[in-house]
This record gives sequence, C-alpha cells and structure tokens, in this order.
Amino acid sequence: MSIRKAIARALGFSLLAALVWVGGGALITAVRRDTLKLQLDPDVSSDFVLAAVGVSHSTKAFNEMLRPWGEDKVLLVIAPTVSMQVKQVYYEFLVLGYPRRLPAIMCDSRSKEASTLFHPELASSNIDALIFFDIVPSRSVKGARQVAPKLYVAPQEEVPTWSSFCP
Amino acid sequence: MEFFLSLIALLIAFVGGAGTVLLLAPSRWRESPCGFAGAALVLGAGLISLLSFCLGFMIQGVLLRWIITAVCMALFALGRVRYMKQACKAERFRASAVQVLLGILVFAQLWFVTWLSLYKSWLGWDGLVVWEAKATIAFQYNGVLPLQYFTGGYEVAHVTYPLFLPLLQLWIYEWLGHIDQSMIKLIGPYLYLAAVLLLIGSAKRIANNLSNAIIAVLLFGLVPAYMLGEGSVSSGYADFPLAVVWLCALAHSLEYFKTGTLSAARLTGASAMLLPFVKNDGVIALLCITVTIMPRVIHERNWKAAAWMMIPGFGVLFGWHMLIKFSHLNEGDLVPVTVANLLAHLNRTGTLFRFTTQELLTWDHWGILWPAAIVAGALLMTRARTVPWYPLVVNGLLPLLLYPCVFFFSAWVQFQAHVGVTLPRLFIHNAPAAILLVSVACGTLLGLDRNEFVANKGGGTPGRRPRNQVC
Repeated sequence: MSIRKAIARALGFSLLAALVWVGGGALITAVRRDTLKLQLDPDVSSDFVLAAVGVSHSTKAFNEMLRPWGEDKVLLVIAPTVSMQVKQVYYEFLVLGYPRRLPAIMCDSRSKEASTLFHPELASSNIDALIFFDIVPSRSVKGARQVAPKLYVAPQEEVPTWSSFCP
Repeated sequence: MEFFLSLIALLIAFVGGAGTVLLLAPSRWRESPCGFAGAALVLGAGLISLLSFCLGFMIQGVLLRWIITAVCMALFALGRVRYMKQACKAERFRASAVQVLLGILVFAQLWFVTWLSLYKSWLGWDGLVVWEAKATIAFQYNGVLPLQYFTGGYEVAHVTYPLFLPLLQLWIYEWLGHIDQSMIKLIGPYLYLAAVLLLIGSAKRIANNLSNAIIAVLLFGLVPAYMLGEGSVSSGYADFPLAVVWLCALAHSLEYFKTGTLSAARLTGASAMLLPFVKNDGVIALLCITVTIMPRVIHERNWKAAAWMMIPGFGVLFGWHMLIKFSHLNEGDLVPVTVANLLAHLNRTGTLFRFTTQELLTWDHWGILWPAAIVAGALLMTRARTVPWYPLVVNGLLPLLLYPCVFFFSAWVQFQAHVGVTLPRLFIHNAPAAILLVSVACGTLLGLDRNEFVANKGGGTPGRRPRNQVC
C-alpha cells in the first residue's frame, strides 16, 4: 500500500470515528435527558397539552363538555393572562372545538382594555357559552359548572362585552 | 389490534407505492431491491395522501377508504404484470456477512426509533396543532377536509400548510375507526425505514460496495436531531417526512445523473411531486432537484425527461397555491418574495450568518455532521472523475445557503425569533444528502468505492446516454 493510500485510510477512519463518537455521545445524552414515559393512549398528545386543566383525561373531559353545543355555536374562552402555556391550551381547544367557533379573550392584569383578543371578528356575534380556563367565573355569571379543577363552562345567550368577564 | 390495523394501513400504502414504482420503472427491483422498497414506502405514502385529497372532493367515508385501497391493489397488479414482461433471470440470492451486519443495524435502528416514537416523545407542539389537527378535523368530517375549512374565514391549524402528513395520519384513523395519537407515531418509523433503505440503495449504487451503505446507515442513526426533538422522526412534525421525500427524489435524480434513463426521470418526477405537498419549504427541495438534473437535461436536450421530472412537482406546487389563492387565505409568515423586500431586509445578513453557523456547530443537534459534510464536499470535488459530487453537494450543502435566505422575507416583527424557532428544523430536510455525501467521502478515503458510478466521459459531469439504454 502506498503512503498516500495509507494516509487517506487513516484520515477516513479518523473522520468516521469522530462522527460516531460525537454523534453517539450526543444521542446518548439526548435520550438520557428525555424523562418522558408515555403510555399508548389515543389522546396522548392532546392530554399532554391539556394537562393544565387539572384532570388526567382532559381531552375526553373537554369533548364531553362541548357535546351540548352544536356545530354552529360560538363559545367564548376566557383566560386570566397571555402566556405560552395558556395559548397552547387555547389552540388545542380551537382544534377540538372545530367547527364551533371559539374566540378568546386573554385578560391583562393592568387593564381590561389591554387584554388580548383572538378572533375579534366574532366580537359582535351572539355567544352561546363561556369557557373559563384557569379563572373562576364571577358571581354574575349564571349557571357556571366546574368541569375540571381549572375549567368551567357557563351557558350564555347574548352579545356580551368580552372584557366584562376579566377580573 | 390498533397496532395491527395501523400496520395494515401502512402496508396498503407500501403495496400502492410498489405498484407505482413497478409501473414507472419496472427494472428498479432488479437494479436495487433496497432502493425499490424505500421508494415504494415513500411513493405509497404520497399516493395515499394525494388520492385522499383529490378523491375527497367527490367521495368520502368508507367508500373513499375502499376505493383508495382498490387503487393501491390495482396499481400493484398492473405493476407486477409490467415487471413480468421485462423480467429477466434473477440472480440467486446469497446473504453475505456485510448484508447480515447491515440487516442487524437496520433492525436495531428501527426498533430504537419505534420505541422513541411511541414512548419517549409526544407529537410536539406543531405536530399536534398544525399537522395532526387537520387529520382530527377531517376524521370528524367523514374522512375529508371540508371545503369550508379552506374558505370559511375561520382559521384553525394553519390552513395554508400542505396535507401530505395529515392525510396519511387520517388514513390510519380511518382504518382504526377512531382518533389515535399514539398509532400515528408509527409513520415516523415507517418513513425512517424508507430513508434507511434509500440510503443503502444510493450508497451501494454510488460506490458499488455495500460496506459504504453501512457507513451511511450508521451515520444516519447517530444524528441526534433525527431522533429526538422538534422535527425529528419521533415527533409528529412534517420536517422528517420532507427529508425522506427529498432523499427519495435525490436517489432517483442520482440515478438519472448516472444513467440518463427515462425510468429514473419518471421516479424523480414522482418523488419531486410530493415535495410541495409535504411542506411549503418543499419548494427549496424542488429547486435543488431542478438544479441537480438540469446540467444533464440541457447537455442531452432530453426535454421529455425534463418534463417527467419537473411537471409533476411544479404542477402540485401551482395547484396548491391556486387553492390557497382562491380561498383568499393569507400565507402568513413571509412577505412577498420581491427584490424590494430583499433589499429592505439586507441588514439581516449578519444575524442570519450568526444563527446559521451557530446551528451548524451545535454538536448536540448534529454531532460534527455539517463540518464533516463541507470537508467531504471539498474532497469529492477533487475526485470529480470517479465520484458524483455535483448532486450530493447541490442537495446537501446548497440549502445551507438557501434556507437562511428565506428569512430575508420573514414577516415576523421579531425575525430573530422566527429564525430561532424554525432554522434548526429546516436543516433536517437536507441532512440525508449531507450524510450520503459524508459516507461517500469516508468510503472513498477508506478505499471502499469501486469507482463505477460515473460511466460517462468527463467524470462527475453529465454525459450522453448509452445507446443501448431502453428503460
């Protein structure tokens, strides 16, 4: 074997060894860092996001909560603040609730006017129900029912001012 | 039972894909059984998605499911008839030690990926509310996405994103009869198997030596970004599917680059057709495949092959954007691609360069894949006479420049946030080509290649099609 070939082979082995060593090390570290232990479950990922409502099978609980309202209904979601977690829960509500319309108001503790609205084009629509996430409905809300520790639902039959539900 | 039904759903996809490959390129099975199986897995998945989308405008529910199944079976039967017409005496199969080792490696990786997908990773944020959400909505509407979903003016789950992955997930839901977010995670291992088989087929074809394929498969299993995290095989994102579809298109464009046959052109076109249907970013992949095949097409003036390769991909891209346009939907994350917008955002260059280099050197995502790929590209260019560097460099390294340039058109107010969230996932798309590049370079250095890839005069540059080529 010529010296040139021997050097090429040594370089090839070194490159391969470095790729395997660094890649393998990084992979083992990544797998060790991942502490998730999931079960096989039809709602495994939705439940993972909706765990914030406080029950184990949160997707099922949410779907059952929505059942009385038909496909053409509008349900307003009220949350106490804008945060990544609240937004994630809301977006999952949107998907599970489809084709029902689920606009939302995420309140701002500084002032009601600074609250964030989702689907504001529905502000003038009749609201058929209110969904309170991570917020306890005030006494003025009639017929509120607790579905999960952090989830309430209340029937509604009017065009309310959304910010009136913020604390 | 759920596991079994999901496997049946995926098996039907494979059968449909096998029929498609046999129809488009009957000699593929003889030339490269691994490449054949990999392509069949990818094209089968695409076939299911495209059929579900197109037929869904006319039929739905159980009827739609059985018609798609019947089409898959019919394609396989027709493909088999075509194959039998061209079949020649097959060589007797004898397993070598390298083949056994490769088989063990593939099986071990597949087991690992399935375990990660089912038990160690949920669908991920985008996987759930962007991709799987569409499958959930379609399942509630009797197996099709209703037109009002696109035109209703009430946007849920990024309406403008293409439907390859959601409709494949829906296919499994339809077979199960209910939504099951665990079982759709099997799509990851399904596509992983396709990627590994395509890598084996391509690496063997390039170097004419199976040992090279072992390097490719080994490296593919040691990229952390592929195993865990956003966009990985174990997540429910569309990034890994796009990577596999791109690899499929690359494998066949490599074959076209080598042989110039119409069968390779047909398979390139069929694979490229799926690129814009997996993700909007597929347009970059389509561009790279176009750049890959153009030198040979222009050199030979083989416009028929060019039509086979380009029309399906650009046709799907055009069709999808027409649907979005007529639905009056806003494509959201990007401003229009104009020179004025590019010039207005040129001040982002420094930030984009910093983000890109930072990501490429993030060892716990990529190991040392990217530095190695750049070195490998340079090495292969010096060996242009014996190694097909051009398709591998175009598909492996050119996107490292193209993807960051997309963010010159980011519509986000804080474009850095857009880059930070998206860029790491984008490089997943072209990493299989980079892995192939590195494995070929390693094989060349180790003396594993038998240098039979480029039969044409001029080494790595395209040459004329041999006269006796008929397929």
